[in-house]
Amino acid sequence: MIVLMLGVFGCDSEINRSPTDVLGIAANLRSMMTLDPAAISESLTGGVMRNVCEPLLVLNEEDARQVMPGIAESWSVNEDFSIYTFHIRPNLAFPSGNPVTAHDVAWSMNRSLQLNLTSSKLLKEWGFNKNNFDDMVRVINDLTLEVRPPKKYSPSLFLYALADYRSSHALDRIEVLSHEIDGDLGNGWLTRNTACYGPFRVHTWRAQDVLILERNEEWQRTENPIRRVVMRHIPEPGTQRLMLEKGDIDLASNLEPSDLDAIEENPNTYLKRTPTFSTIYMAFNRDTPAFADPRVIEAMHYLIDYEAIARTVLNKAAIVRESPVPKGMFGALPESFTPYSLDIDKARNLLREAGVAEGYSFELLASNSAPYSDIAQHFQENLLKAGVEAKIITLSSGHLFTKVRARKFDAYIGGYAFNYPDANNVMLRFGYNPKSSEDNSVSVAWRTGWDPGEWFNATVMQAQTEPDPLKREQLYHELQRYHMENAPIVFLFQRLGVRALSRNVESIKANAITLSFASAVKKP
Amino acid sequence: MTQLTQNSGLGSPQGKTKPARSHLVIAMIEVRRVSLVVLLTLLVLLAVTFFLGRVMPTDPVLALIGEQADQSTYQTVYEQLGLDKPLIVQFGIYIKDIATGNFGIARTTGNPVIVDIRRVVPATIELATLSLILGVIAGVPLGMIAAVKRNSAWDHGVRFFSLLGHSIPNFWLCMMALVVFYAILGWIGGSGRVSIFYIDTVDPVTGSILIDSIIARNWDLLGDALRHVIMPALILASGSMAFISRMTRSFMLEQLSQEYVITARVKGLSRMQVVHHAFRNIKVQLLTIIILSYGGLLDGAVLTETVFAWPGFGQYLTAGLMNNDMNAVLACVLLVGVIFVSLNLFADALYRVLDPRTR
Repeated sequence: MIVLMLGVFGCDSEINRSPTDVLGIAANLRSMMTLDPAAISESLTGGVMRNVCEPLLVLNEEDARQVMPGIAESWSVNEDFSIYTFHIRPNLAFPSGNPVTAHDVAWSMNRSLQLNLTSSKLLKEWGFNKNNFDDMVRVINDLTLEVRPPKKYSPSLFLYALADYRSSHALDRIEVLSHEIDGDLGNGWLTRNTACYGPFRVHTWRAQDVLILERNEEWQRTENPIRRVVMRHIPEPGTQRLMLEKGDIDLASNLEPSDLDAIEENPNTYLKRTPTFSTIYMAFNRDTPAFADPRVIEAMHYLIDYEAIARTVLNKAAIVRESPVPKGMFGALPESFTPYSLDIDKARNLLREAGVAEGYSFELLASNSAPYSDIAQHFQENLLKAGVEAKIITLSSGHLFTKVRARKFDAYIGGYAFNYPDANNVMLRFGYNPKSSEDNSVSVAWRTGWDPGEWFNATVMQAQTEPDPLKREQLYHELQRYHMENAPIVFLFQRLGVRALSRNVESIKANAITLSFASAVKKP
Repeated sequence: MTQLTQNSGLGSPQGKTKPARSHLVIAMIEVRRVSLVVLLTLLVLLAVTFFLGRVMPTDPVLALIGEQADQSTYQTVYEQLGLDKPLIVQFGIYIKDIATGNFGIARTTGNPVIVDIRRVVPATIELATLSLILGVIAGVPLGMIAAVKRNSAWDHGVRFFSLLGHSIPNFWLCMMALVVFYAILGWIGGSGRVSIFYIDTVDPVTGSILIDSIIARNWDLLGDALRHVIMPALILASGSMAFISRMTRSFMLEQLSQEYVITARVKGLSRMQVVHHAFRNIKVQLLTIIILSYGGLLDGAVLTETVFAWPGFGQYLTAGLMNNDMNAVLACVLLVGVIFVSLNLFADALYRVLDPRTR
């Protein structure tokens, strides 16, 4: 019967071949839950929305450290860094036809604070809040916006605060407010729709099925050869690979590390690897008595076979990064700075010196998604050689978050994606912890119960306002060295953004944070 | 029941209306009893799913806000989800809402759950119906051949393939089918209901792309949709075919050993005539198992839908579970319950219609 059915329908046709102005992408869309920039919390939707919602400033498509004009065509800062003035490009229009103005930007930023959803953190951490917003952000006229940050941040740092689609986008407030229900500021409507200005607009979104973007013909910043982006929900990595190899899609975004060699060997496909600002780390809870001793944490540094894991488990989808700040960020230590390597004897001696008895055991939590559980197993084997047992508990990432935010763990392996390319970002999440007793569960330092001390906290604050870039960089180097020696956190790897592409795509630009769909050039 | 009605009508001047009235009363009592049992079953199903969902160790708030949100955002969303209320109050509110047809908003899609279900169910019905048709077309004749040619090579072959159909994990079968028939031979379309560049080329009318493409007279799309549906349908059908063929064989063997068959043979009826007689006697049982296997196909296609990226009910339920979207999960569980209960009731009703002994 199979032969009969396939005989009737089976013939390879050319209908699937990708048109030159359409980009076909396979991705696991399961985590894509909302399109509201004020509420987006995960990276896949973030990657899409960066192609839909242009912020005041954007990061260069290939080097994220360079801040470029976005909705604002130019900006200026006064002498004491207390006032930033942004000039919005004239004649910009939303898909509805409404003009893009400074009012829209200010309203959208304020809306984020009012809703107090995930993205509000990106404004609150710079000192903006519901109460001071009107004093801090002023609309001078339709095309001029003035921002007075609560602190006199170093301009090279503060501009990053306004170069994120979640913090400084422009929503079409007239359109959004026309869909407001029960004072939700359009949150319900924006869950499924978009009202931004950017290279694309959302044409169709059916959750867990398909997302179609259409070129915004009004977009002015660069040429956009891509008329349509079709992103289909293909949850199974093996299926994504087959579709890519057949030429039915142009880009597969969720391949397993084990698939990468085959993609590189196939003449019709290739890989584009870009260092990202995503890190893989291990954290140890100081409330677990053994981990209160810095010698134990130092021993943990020596129980990781960094190179072997990068080569095997991660299969070139990550690079070794022992220092906290990822490569490519402002303030990163040189790539060659790798003071730790596998040394089981040294680790065993450190453990004995710290009084950790042979046979000591603890629970190691790891997400059940790749590559965390595999890394945990590698680590477990080396721990055993040093006389310590790690009981690995694999959990869904939601369950893992729940446990670590409640400080209910001995140790865990986790990942973190930073939002902007400055070491301040890393230090706030992984080091700065002024009152370790207060609930600050977004901070990994807080989760581990680490009190970095007055010098560390004060230096993090000082680096934020230091105007001299060289001095700032120096401060971050010092902070990182201190962190590596004292914090109960072990940085392991920096992930690479690995995109498997069909040879139909001649080129596409990506920086450490996002992939630019509009930069794709397909074979004619 | 018939006896009672006849007696109650005896000697009465209104003998013709009373039996009818009694029939009606008994039918009404029966309907009320069945409705009560159905409602109770669904309520227990909902309660178990609701409370299990709430005691799961994953925090639904964190599933929504992610790792980077602060405590004040956590609190805002916690209250928005109504999680600050006692569990029993939350359940009461939920039951009250669904009694008015409000199944809530699916957190994973932002749509009312009922809108999502309306969108995903046609995809699954399309796949399951085709699978069932294929399963019946292949399973019934194979089961009959196996029964008629008992212990022959045919019989062993059918039993072997039936066992195979049950034993091979669908996940593996799906991947292998994609590798061989899609990637190597190129005979079928890849995953999804249509090729990526055909998406949304016709307006949805029925939700079934096969039917919608015929309505729109878009024959290219119809061909593409057939190329996509055939393999997942065949793989799903392999399980139901195995079940149907095994049950057909068993029913037929039972009939073929009956005395009336022996009598028929003694009377000189041909083998085909005998088989025809026997088959007429198994059709009621056969219909029942076909209906029940349809229920299994509707909610049991999760793995097939995942590998073939089929945007159906199974995938929706899985995503709801993975993202701790309890509104979606509860509505799906309720729907599965309703499907099974309805199909069981339908099978019961068919029994009564087709088999006079059960009336």
